[in-house]
Amino acid sequence: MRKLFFVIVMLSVTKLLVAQENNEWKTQTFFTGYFALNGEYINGLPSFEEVKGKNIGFNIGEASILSTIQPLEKLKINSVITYKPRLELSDIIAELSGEWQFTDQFLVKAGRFLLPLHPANSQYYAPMNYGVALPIFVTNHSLFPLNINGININGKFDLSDNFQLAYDFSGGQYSKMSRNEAGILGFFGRDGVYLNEDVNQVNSMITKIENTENGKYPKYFGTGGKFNFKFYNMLQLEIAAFYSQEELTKKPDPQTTYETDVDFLSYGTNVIFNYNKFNMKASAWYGNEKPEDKQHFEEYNIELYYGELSYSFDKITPYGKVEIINGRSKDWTRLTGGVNFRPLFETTFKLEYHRYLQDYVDDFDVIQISAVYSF
Amino acid sequence: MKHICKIILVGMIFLLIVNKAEAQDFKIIVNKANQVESLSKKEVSNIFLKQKIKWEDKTKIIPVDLSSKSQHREVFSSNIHNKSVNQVRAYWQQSVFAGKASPPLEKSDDAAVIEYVKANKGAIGYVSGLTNTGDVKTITIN
Repeated sequence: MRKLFFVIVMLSVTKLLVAQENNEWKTQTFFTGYFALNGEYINGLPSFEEVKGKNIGFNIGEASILSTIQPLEKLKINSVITYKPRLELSDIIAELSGEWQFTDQFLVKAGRFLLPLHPANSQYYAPMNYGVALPIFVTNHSLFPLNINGININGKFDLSDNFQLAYDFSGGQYSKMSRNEAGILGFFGRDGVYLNEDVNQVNSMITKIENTENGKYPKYFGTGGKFNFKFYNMLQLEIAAFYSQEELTKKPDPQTTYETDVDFLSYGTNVIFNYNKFNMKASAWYGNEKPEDKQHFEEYNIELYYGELSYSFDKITPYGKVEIINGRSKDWTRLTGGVNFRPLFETTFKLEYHRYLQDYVDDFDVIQISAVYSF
Repeated sequence: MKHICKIILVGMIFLLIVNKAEAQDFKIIVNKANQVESLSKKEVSNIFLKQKIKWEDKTKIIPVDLSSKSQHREVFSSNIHNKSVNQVRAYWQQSVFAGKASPPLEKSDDAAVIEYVKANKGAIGYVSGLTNTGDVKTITIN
């Protein structure tokens, strides 16, 4: 019902504004999309092989169509439909929003859109991401959601020729997609669950996750935003935060259920540096979950650190990443190295290697390949 | 020895002709009301990548590309952006997916570019070096 309401509002506003259209403006449209075939191989993780019955797979990794329509000079309508394995039908619409530009300093957007609190969130789509696996910031959804149905205000100020300040704030409803399986084999997003030598405990955890969510992602309201400082078109510093109130349920035995409201706050900083063909990104984020019922639920903290380096040799881009997560119950580090080869606009090939370093099982590897066709 | 000198001389003349032809492969055009006389390569690149969006008089810049299949677009892209057309298309795909700017308007041929630039004060485009651009203003690249 809420989605229908948003669509009706957007259509009504569009119709009203088209009536006042500047006759010189011609509607601009732009379509693009892609289709990716992916392969994954997990080496040396016995708990995963035993639970899933396989450690290698090939399949459609993702497919997406984006359309941008600008019926008026100040109005832009974006839609992105994305297929990834195991997404709910309603989440296949990754974005559907209208944005009105009052001035460069003040724009308003309404609908569903990606929450740009971290560069990784904006790299949700295969052509945006050098690699195959999305960063842990995105797959594990531990600190903020991927997208939101709501309202956004954003804008930028040119403080001088070489210094720009931008802001971006959003509020609305989101799906709590944490611990959703991602990737061909369903390993990513639930990495921490499989860091356990006892397969019974792994199965028990998976059952608990799927029973708690009852096959659906709970929905909550949240708000978040960031400030972005840009220097000489090369260096960007961001400070960002997200806040929401969620609910937790615990069933210590079949006859007993505890429920509580939870205050969730996350905040962090991102640094982005581009010089010629060299790119660097680094982030440090902190999250805190504070339950109202402190007797039956625990307060917990999470930390996520991210570092990425890449250099573009025209068609070939080698890159490396370090990701450190100090999670609710487990800590691990993921090292990544890979190469992205795009000989033509239409074709991209990716090869990626991950090494998981942690203290729960023997360190293990994941290898991924991807072939992407863009149009 | 005389033959070698002749060959070298012919070769040099040939190279000069080729270079002159490349330099005339495209020219940048703006509306006749636009005050700008010249732009640097970097400025032209920033304009067509929508990183520079206003003229000095605060008029909105409207860049106009030729079709991605146009030979002159390939030359323009390699000369001005130091990138192939495919690389620029990849840049725009990323930009659009990131919710940032959309690519410039594309016109099918020189006549359509000239018509558009003539009708829009803030517009800037490029056409073949041999095309008649009497209806618009040609600017130089520093």
